[in-house]
Amino acid sequence: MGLPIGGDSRKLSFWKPVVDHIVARLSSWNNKFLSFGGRLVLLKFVLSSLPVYFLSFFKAPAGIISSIESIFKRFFCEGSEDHRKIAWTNWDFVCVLKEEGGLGVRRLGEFNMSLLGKWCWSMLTDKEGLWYRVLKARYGEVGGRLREGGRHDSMWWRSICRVRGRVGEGVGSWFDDNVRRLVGDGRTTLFWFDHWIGETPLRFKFPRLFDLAINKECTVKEMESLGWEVEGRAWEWRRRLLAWEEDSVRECSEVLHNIVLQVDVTDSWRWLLDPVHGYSVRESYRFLTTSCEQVDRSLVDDVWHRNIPEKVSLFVWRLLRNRLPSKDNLLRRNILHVNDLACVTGCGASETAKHLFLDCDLSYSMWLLIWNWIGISVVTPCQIRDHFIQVSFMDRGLLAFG
Amino acid sequence: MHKVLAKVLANRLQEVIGSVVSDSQSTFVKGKKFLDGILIANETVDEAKRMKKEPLMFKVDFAKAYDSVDLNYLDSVMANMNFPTLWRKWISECVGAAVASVLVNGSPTEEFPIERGLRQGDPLSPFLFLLVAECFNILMKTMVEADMYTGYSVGGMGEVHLTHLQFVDDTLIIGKKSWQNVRSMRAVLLLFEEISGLKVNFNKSMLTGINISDSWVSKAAMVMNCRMGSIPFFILGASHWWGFKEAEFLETGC
Repeated sequence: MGLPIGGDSRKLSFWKPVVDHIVARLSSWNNKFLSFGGRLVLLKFVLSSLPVYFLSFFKAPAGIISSIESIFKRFFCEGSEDHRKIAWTNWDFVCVLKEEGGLGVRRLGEFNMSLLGKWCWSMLTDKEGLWYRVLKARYGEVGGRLREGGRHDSMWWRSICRVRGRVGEGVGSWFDDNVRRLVGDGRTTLFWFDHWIGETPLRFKFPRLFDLAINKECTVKEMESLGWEVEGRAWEWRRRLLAWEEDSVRECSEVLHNIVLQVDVTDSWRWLLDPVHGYSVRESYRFLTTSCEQVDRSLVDDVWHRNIPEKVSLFVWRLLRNRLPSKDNLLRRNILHVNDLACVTGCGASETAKHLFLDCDLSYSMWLLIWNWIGISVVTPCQIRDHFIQVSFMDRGLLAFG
Repeated sequence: MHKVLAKVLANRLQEVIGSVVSDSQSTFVKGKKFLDGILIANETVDEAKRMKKEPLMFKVDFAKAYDSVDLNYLDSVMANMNFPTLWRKWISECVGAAVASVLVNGSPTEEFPIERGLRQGDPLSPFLFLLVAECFNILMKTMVEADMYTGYSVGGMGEVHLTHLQFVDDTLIIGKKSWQNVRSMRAVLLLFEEISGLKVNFNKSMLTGINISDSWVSKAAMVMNCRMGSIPFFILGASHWWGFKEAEFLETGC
């Protein structure tokens, strides 16, 4: 599958090959024989990688993203295509990163954004390439950056600008906020435009001064050598300044007061999420999807262990979140009648996940056997979560001694 | 053994390949992204559409590109690029030393040396192919200098002239609409075939015009003896390179 040249990425027909590709891949899998864990692996490593080639160049419209994701959802939650089943887990939950207690399936929208962010990054760092020169010839450069917002901009360029600038998706200008200019000798850093000091570029911090400045594209080096003290020759204005404008010049030069340029270091860009290696799609994806909620780390780490088969881990994951088809859950979804609630072992109690795995006579005696076998006696905690933590903690202790 | 050696050579070649291969090649070169070429092509088409320019695009399909590279030619290319003799020996040992025999009616024939073709799946092959394709680049440059071919200029100021883009064996020639260009394209491709052994499959190649009347394009396509394409067209279906089968690789014997 190649990339289409000269198509319109807003149209549905443009994305048809991608969707078809995914559907074709799906149809050859016989879902009936796949476990939940197996489906998770297929989804994460095969299905969600199929559109990557397209997504790393084109911005997918929201409609396409959601229709691809709904294919994913149906595959993962419902299994077979011919009849619908209960979606046991909330999709948002499935998409949360594994480190935070989800299943780590990619969200295509955010992933698309972080892939396109790579272009924004190389636009800053790789100005020698032919591709940059083509863009420059077409759009022109203002303030060290390609001009945007023209009438003849291509769809691709518009979507890149949207990634770069402020987007109405709640993240703000995630890209610009994470990029800083590291000033060395100051030869290639633009004084007003680049984000090199303080919280915002100087042209946003001192908008009036920027408007009045004669030479807007001067570099830090030029400004410094002219002298940026209050009376320095670096400040050239189009007219005499008013009193409050004088004040902001004073404020500005106070900000600059402590800056010393290093002669033998060239200026460079820094990606705040990964200062050492520069832009990485993984880090920005993490940034775009991370929620602020506190994570219960012990729980998260122990479910996924490389010695435990994926489907077992997933089963425990579902158990801890009470997402298994135990009878009380089925009742809540109006599948069973209230009268059918009795536990399958025939002990007479009503069946819940907790009852099934801890309290029921059968499972309780099983646990006793296990304790006996390991050769310790403990009080069994009465919550599944506590029980899980106890067992996994004990396991770690045994490993340490053994 | 061959596998290890080829990988070592490939790693070393990768370091320097950027200095001998030109800008129009966007794959397998360190520091260049795979998608750079796509970006250029896409922006060019889009600009032409919006600004009512008239570029002519010719998507070249080389028949069995990797299999038909002339190895003697490859060696002389490397000589001209000032690769040291020792290095060239290593390479020719690696690529050209293979012998093959064919099963005829169940019994193998006598072994014969292979004179053509880079092996698919060999880590060296893509880089060596880049060297071969570089020759095409030089041909195009000469044509432009001799005023026999006019590239397409992007932007109002006409700073950047595009003549062609290469994605390893996928080549896209871009030029102004003119009969001379059509003739030159054909001439260059035939010449390239003569030199390198890479045969252009004109039946599968595609000539596409933007803002150019269909009748003109179809006439030109007739001269070129190729198909007429339309926008959008697909490019860089890299599957035939990445999708090589492990089995094929093993059978070549290493």
